[in-house]
Amino acid sequence: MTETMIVAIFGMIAIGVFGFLGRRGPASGVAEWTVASRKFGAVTTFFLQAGEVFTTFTFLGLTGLAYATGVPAVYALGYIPLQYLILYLVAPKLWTISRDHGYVGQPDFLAGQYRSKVLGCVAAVMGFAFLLPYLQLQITGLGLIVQLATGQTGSATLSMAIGTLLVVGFVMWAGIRGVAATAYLKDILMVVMLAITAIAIFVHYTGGLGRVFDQVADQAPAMLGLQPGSHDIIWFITNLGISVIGAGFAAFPYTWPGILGARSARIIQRNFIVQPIYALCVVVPISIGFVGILALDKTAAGNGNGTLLTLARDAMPGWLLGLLVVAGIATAMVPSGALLVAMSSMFARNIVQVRGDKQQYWLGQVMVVVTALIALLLAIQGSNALANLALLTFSGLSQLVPSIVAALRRSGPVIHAWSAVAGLVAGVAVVAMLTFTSLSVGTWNVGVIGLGVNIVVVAIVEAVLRASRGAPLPHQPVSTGGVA
Amino acid sequence: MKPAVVAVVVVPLVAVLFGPLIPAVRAPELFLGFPRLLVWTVFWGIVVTTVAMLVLERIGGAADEDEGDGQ
Repeated sequence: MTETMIVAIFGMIAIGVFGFLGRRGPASGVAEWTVASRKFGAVTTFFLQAGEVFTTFTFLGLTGLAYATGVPAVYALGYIPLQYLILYLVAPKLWTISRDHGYVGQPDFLAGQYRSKVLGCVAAVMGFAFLLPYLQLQITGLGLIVQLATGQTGSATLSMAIGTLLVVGFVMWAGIRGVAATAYLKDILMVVMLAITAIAIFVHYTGGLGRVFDQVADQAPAMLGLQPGSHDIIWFITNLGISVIGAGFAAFPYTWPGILGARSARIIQRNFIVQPIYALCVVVPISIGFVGILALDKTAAGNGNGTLLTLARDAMPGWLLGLLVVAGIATAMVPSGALLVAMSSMFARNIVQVRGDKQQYWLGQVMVVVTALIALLLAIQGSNALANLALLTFSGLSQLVPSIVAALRRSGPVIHAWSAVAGLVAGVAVVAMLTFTSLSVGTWNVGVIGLGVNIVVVAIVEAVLRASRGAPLPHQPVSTGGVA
Repeated sequence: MKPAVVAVVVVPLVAVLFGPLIPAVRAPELFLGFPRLLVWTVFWGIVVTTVAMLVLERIGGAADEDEGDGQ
């Protein structure tokens, strides 16, 4: 066993221990387990929300995208801060409405606001279906990180199993508080290691950051601009657009605990003001991707996801590489924890819809194990196409945006539940059809097209409902219990 | 929503989203040693977006303080 692998295993255990230490006492129910009874202060809320910036997609996929395509990878640097600008206005409404009615997640919000358990169930099923590949992505990324650093194929399966086991353990024990505790460790470690790695890679391969782009301008100038092809202007604008819309309007269920867990709406808003500055860190993995263009031949980094670690392996000693691996593993374990909290609670409350807080809590615990096991098996057998998987998740979940936007009034939604359901189903059907068939839409993001169809279907169904039966709107949302 | 709030939100959104339509922004050239699109996105996406939220704090985009204390 190499020193890198030893450091990696100890690091994984340390992350798990942090997660276990997050618990403040026995969970009193679903609300404590999923949103910490809405008691998180500014610092914890910051790390929970900042933690969503650095996932395995940022660590591996974005560096790979910059290596493979060049400047189109900058789209991530655009959508991350812009989502906070929209969330600055949207999140306080979500928080206030959810506090007033006891919602602990996105399907709760939709089911309660529209007074429709069907809509809550449809949103939860779609959320579960689209988050499962995203969870798989995190676990696959974890294995890939260890495999690339150690050069041993067998180490990937072992590390995926250990990492998943630890996440399941601390999520069952401490819920969202465990995720928050690991988020502290992850982001501090990530920022420190990214800075060290960047300096090591820039100095080793190009003589400094200032020379990276000068050398790319000499050797591969096309990589510095948007060119016709698979990653052209349309790709850039539509991918950036769907990511801003989806993240800005909280279409991704795993981001809700970070919003609903805050002690006040003002804490959330103040956090969003500083988050864009933190997002500047994303320049580092993008720049490292450009170093890959200069230093690696096209076969060395495979599909690009191995760019960062392939470069780091030659520029750093084994123990330091091990610490980088731990930071990378944390970018997989922490989001995996947040995903498991969101998925298991939505399964218990909105898909199976068991009654009683205790029953929901225990079914959620069982679902943590079942969901993690399915994702682990998929990861062991699955592919490593990280960036494409993440984009598919974003495109599908973004179809929830019209339903959420129409329900942002305290007094109730502006459309009927069936209009929301029809639009959601139509949008997801279009995304699935365009993704899994040979129909070509050029370089357009399929989520944007799905969203267009979604909105048109909502408008048509709503017009028909209003004209045919003058159906009243559900003006009074229902409370779902939990924390008021 | 106040028109001023909408304007403050829309300006950086439009600049980042549609900036690449400007040939000078998407050109494969450097500005201050970095790709032009990178500089454009950092300026509008990070600098201006942060300033925009600070402006929103002043002109009424902030949530009421009494919406806090969720316990």
